[in-house]
Amino acid sequence: MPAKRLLTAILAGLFVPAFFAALFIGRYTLLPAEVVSMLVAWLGISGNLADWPDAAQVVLFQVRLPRLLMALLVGAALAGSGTALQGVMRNPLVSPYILGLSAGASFGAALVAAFFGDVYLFRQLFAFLGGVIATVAAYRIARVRSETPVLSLVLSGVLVGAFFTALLSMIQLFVDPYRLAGIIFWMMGGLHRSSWTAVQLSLGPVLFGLLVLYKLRWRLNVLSLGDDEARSLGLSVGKERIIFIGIATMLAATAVAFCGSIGWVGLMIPHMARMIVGPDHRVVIPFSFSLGAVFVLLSDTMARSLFEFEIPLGVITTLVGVPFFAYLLKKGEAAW
Amino acid sequence: MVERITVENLSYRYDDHKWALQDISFKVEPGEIFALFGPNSCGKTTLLRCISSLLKPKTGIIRVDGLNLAGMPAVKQARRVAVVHQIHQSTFPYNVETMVLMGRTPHLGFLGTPDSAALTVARKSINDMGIGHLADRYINTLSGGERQLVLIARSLAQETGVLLLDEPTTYLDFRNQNQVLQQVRSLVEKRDLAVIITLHDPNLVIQHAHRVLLLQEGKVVGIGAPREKLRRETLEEIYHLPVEEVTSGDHFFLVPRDGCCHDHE
Repeated sequence: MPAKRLLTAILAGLFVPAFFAALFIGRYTLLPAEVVSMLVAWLGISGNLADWPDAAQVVLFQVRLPRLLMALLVGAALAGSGTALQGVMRNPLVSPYILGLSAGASFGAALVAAFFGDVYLFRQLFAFLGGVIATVAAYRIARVRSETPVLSLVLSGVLVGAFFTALLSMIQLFVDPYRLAGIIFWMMGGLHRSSWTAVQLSLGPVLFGLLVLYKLRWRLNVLSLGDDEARSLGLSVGKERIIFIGIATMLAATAVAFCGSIGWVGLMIPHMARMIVGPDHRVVIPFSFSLGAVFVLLSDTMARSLFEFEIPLGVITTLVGVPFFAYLLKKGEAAW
Repeated sequence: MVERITVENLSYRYDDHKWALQDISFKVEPGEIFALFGPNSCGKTTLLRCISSLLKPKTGIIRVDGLNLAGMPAVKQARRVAVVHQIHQSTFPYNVETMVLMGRTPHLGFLGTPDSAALTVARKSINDMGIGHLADRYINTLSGGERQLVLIARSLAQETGVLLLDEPTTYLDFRNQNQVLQQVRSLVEKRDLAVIITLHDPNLVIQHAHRVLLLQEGKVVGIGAPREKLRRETLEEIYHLPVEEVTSGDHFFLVPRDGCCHDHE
């Protein structure tokens, strides 16, 4: 459809400037031409990377490039997770954190911070496990007589979220104040600790999750019709719902483990995607991945360059997301 | 003629409540519209949900083309039985073409998306229902009657031999009721479908169905040609309402008589 091609072109048009802006904007000045030349040399196309100062190389290749890639991965993962969950639960107000994932992950990360301090990867592992355990618990609680009604699922997610939030409060109450600040900053979400290790560890689960969602995007259309209609159209509703929730959980838990709870991306991006390309998940799914990636990349560039100090990314996405959502509600288009 | 669908000694109850259906048996042939008729809570929808495998009968067997539906995977069932449910509430308002394309899902692989062959079948179903002009419209912008035709078109795209329609005329006005049922009749003739339909209006049953099964409190109280089975005394018995028979030329109607409903003694 020409309109969709045009929109894809606009999105690509957004992506290229966002990509380069993320590489040359920052406290260490790198001109666009320098960034391009260094990238060309890095890729071995032409020029010698040794000609550039060490500081410039470190800033570009050890700080900004892995951070940019993490932004793209996290944005696509959260947007994909939100789109899948909204479709499966037939509720456009669902976010990846609806089943208590964020609270569980925060508890896992805080537990490590409280008892072991800031141990890299150990914290990420516990955050991931905390998120997954919370989601599985919510699913188990909602399951009654071999069925898992969507309403029960949402309610049990609220319960599990409240439980882990209470546990988190207990930790915050007893923890060393110095470590408490670290916990709170982590919970606000941000990409400031991105590294090649983080990119390598998150790349596999994120790409796998996105690929599965992409391949199953037609079934998401059918599942979103409701249990009875989906069953009559040949879907094994219970099993397929578990697949979607499992993949959405893996995507969001990976994002949260490395970057903390970044709010509103998983709720808002699927809405924006549906407003632009319509509700068909064959188009919404890939569009939402791309839009989420670009949105988080732009937000992160703003988060680290607007002021002298870095603002947590979660704060930026929320400050942009809430007014936008209020606008949607006023316009009456939030039904999508 | 070979039966398309056979129901034998089917019984069902919800948890420990009393039996919602007891010992139901009937057969439906290709090219036949078979109506389920009876008052609210008589078990019509429960029976239809059992046949569509949304409920598991406590006893009895349902066969389609001689094959037992019990234990058959959902995808294989959906290639044999299509269902138009009583209520369709779209969270995401897909357009008509996409809605009807969803009828091809049982014929796709697990990771598949509809191809051009699927689109051809969907477009034929849309045209067969006479709604080609609505193909690009979003479902939430359609009238109740148009939506019902879209859902029937989707079930046609499944290319099954059996079509189950659960109260397809409930929310429709006089004109749309007639339009939907006329379309169903013409499809049954064109595609040799076996249709099981639940209806509330005895006159629609008389006008459109080949046979009727009368249900009362989960039991069969009559089965046969609508004009023979839907008589004044039967309706008065199961609805506790004074009824009058009106004949005009070849037409036969049942209308409520003036006066108060009486309680069942």
